[in-house]
Amino acid sequence: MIGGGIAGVQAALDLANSGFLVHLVEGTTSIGGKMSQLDKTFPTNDCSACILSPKLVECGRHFNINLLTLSDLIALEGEPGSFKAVVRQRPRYIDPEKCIACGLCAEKCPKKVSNVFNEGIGERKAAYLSYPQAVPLKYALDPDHCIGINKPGRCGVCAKVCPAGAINFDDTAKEHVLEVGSVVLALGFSPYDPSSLDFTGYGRLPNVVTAMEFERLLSPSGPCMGHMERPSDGREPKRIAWLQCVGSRDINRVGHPYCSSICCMFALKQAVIAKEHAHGEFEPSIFYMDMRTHGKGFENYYNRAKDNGVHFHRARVHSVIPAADPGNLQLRYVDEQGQVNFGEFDMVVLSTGLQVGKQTLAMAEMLGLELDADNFIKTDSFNPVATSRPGIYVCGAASEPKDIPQSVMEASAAAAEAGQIMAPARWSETSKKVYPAEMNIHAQAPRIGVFVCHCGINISSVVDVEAVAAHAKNLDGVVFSQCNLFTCSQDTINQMVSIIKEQGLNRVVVASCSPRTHEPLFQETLRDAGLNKFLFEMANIRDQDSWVHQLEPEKATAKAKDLVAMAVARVRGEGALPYNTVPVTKSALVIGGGVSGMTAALSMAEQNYPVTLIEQSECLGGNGRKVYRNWKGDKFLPFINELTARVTTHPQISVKLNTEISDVTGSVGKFITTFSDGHSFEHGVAVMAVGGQAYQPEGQWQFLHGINPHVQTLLELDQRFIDEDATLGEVKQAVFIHCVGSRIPERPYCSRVCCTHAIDSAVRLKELNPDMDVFMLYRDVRTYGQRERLYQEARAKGILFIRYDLDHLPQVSEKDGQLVIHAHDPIIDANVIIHPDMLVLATAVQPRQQTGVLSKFFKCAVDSQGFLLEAHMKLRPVDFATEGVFLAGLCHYPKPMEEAIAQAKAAAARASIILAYDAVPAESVTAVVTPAKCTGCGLCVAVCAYNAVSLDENGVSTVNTSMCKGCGACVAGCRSDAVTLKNIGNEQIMAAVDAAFM
Amino acid sequence: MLYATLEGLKRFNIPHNFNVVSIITYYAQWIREGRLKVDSSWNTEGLKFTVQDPCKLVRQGFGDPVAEDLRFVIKQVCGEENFIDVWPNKSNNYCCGGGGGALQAGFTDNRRQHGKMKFEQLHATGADVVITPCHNCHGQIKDLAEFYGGKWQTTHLWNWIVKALVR
Repeated sequence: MIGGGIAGVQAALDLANSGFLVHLVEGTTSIGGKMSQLDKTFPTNDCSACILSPKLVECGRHFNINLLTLSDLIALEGEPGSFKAVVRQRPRYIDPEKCIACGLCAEKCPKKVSNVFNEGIGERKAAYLSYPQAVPLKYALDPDHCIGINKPGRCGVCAKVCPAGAINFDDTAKEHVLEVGSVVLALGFSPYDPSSLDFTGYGRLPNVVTAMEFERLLSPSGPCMGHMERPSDGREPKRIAWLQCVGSRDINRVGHPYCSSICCMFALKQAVIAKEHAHGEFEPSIFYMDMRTHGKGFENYYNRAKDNGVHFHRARVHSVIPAADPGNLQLRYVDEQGQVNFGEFDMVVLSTGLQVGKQTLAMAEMLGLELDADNFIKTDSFNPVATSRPGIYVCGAASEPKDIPQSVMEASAAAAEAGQIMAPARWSETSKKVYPAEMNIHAQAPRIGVFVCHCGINISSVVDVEAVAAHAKNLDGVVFSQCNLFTCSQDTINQMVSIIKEQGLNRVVVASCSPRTHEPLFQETLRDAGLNKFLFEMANIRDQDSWVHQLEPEKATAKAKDLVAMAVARVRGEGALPYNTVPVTKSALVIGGGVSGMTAALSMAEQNYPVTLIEQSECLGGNGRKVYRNWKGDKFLPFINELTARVTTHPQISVKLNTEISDVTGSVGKFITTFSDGHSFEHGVAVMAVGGQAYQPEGQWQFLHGINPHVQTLLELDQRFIDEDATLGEVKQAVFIHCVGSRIPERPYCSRVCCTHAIDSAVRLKELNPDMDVFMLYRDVRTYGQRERLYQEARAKGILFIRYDLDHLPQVSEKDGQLVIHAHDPIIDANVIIHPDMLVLATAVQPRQQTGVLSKFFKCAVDSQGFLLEAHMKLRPVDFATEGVFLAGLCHYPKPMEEAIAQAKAAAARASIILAYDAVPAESVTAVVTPAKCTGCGLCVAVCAYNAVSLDENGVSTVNTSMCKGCGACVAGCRSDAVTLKNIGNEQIMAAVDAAFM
Repeated sequence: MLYATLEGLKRFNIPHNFNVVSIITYYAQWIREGRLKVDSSWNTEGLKFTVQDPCKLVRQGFGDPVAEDLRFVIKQVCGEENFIDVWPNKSNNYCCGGGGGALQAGFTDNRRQHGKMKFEQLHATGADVVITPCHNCHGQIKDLAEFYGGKWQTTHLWNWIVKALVR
């Protein structure tokens, strides 16, 4: 796995969790990539670090992920299944085994360096941690700037202050030769550098910043701690302009003909978030060519931004120059009426596009990979994650500009492809930890051990740790207490295991840093010592005590004593909990026989899992059979026919046509699905690929469709292309209307595919008859990513684009059978009358009506439009909140075939993770009902998000442990105090409260 | 002539064994080397200077490097603090509106209408002197100042080098 951004991390986790050893090679000191630099993410406005961190921590701690930071792949030879990869690891100069991330080296380091993580805004030291949540949480010395490295014998302050002796100025580069079955590239992108675009003033005017720089200015971990300040004078900006397409869609100055796909949403998000950051009045303005909000939830976001006072100007700004008021900026632009306008702003943000990084080019050359015309790594329409070299896969922005959900989907898809190659070797390279038998503590009196951590001087310089340990010794149930310099160091961990055994401890409290990072480590230590891991509590005396009360050591010590007493009180009443598991039936059900369903089925079958594929109609292929070709000119039918043949002849796939679902019971690991023919099927996982359907034009969007024979939809035109209808070449004038049924109040989403589809169809008509006049009536042209080339080609072929808006809908009428179209061209501000002999409607993509019914069978959610709703729009794009069920294709959101294929493979990868195990873990901290107290009101049933609670035949609440996630909603909801969470019950909480106030 | 030579060599692929260099580049080089000694101490009144970047010299010719040299020389001659740059500037500066024969070919109203933007840009600097290292720009900007009421003096670069020469 090359690259430790979000795509690389996702692919590594998917592969490691499905039974493969993964070497994750990252060039910098820590994983996280671009996503770790973001403040918030669209369209959910989640904190980027908050949703990313758990994945990074999981990656860093994973037993089967070998994290190689500061490393580069320098050579690769061999074949798919048996490559030999040479990885060069540069020296870190700080031993990660010893570093405890106390930060003293950075604090005392005398050498200040531009802060790369903050995009060069502000400074960091030559001894540094790139960002607070970095994984691995280990410091490094910057060899370009460190005095001690460059002038041996000089400086060396860090070595003197490091309490762990981790500094090693003599560290050297290492070479690792790795035997791998497959290589996945997640090389990411580098933002376009706008320095050469002098009209933007970037680099000369301090208040002109790039989108990434602005993101750091907004971020709480950024240079101004999340207070929005402009660089020139630290004033809070009141008017900010975002300039779109800087470095994208520009063949004149930049040489990037493609659209960067994400910047419209990026700017919208920044405008909305900046407004939240601002105190008092704030005016965000976005200068754009087309707003491209083509993803799930994006159009709604755009509409909300408009309603919330974000100003939109359809203009490409001519120049940014200093205004009379110091620091302010004057923008000169021409509006749609052709008038020159000036606008004054406090700050300008350049929505810089995405481009291929230098390292990607070098890597592609070294590996002999083909690149496309824009230097992105070339992929195939029908195999969107495969590179030109077998066994090497690519995911994320290295193959085309794309957003995070799409990158995450591709990451899982690449994992599926790599997993297919390596399937015979599953579990052969991985190691699995074996724990000693667990001691039964049931009838034992509590024997609690307390370990108080110095954390170097992080805690002990403020808190009197010896006094805390002495205090702990006198607490009820405590039989042992001691202080450790570093409780998490490997030697202390080993010591802890022997102390637990020697002292016969049956409960443990660690008073140290934070359970956020260290609880799993200590819980594992308990298991190593033969204790149930739930007999553990942590007292946070660093993050929440010594770090925040540095000036009041006495009070901090008193607080530490209270925190330890509370933890002891809690752990005293805790019991061993079962490590719940659910056995896995190793087979999959795929619902829907379109391209997505077939792809998912084939991917799982290739990994040797039996799959049943059901399709409600009498043939496989779905919507794909109705489409002529994609924007790259690849025809669909030959591909679909081949795919169908592979699916129907695959020994692991059983296809059931004309079949629907009549009932589903069970949950992850074991579902039992009954089909319409009465048969039932037991399966461990399910993939929903139930497709979508074309909107049938009606009302004001009907445009004489079904009345005048010359009016047809895109799919109807595609059928004529497929049938090679010779009369198409005789058409003299054709008109396309975009957004028929999309982006309107009833359907407030963009159908994503139709701009590209319509323009490609128009180009096809021009191919058939170059003299044909073709008009496109559009709202915003959304040929995102490299599809932009098609738009350029269309204009070069003379196809005319006329914009309309909802206040000026095209009017379609007929006179003696002849179509007459009235439209308004806003550029020439004139009415246009066209008499075409063909009108084509680019109709919306809708979810199928059955989607809602099907979703209920598997307890999956649907969104307000009836599309299936994934577990998380950003980072879990193919999972449902319901475990064991996955989704792919049009039922999720309109998407072109290459994206549907990637998503289907991703769904297969995610499903394979479950199928790789004989049993899957289930939550241990679950809710339990005291039947005697239950009044049967059913409130717990109503509030449970996981359908885990139900009323039994006696009207008493019961919890299905395998579905319970331990969220506690039912506990809070119960009016009779009948539901509690194991180990987090009233008795533990009240005991802790008592201890605090004793 | 400089641009015509440059473009001609390029367009017709004429073999040659010489470099085409602007005199401005040499001024800057000589000042840096100390061969051309200039001193801004004459500017006791604090006359403010601004500059025009001729299209053929900068935007279509040598680009930002020659524009930087131009500014370096002016600052040496008039004093760093007395130079006020225009915006946009260097390779992105506005055309004066007098080139391409416009200055000589009649259509005076159109030419002045084109030049209005240049006038307003220069006027906004408040400078007393506009340096125009191009004969065409000089003619146009001088005319614009007279026509629209600009109070600046339009001059070439060398006049001020002469003024600042250390004798």
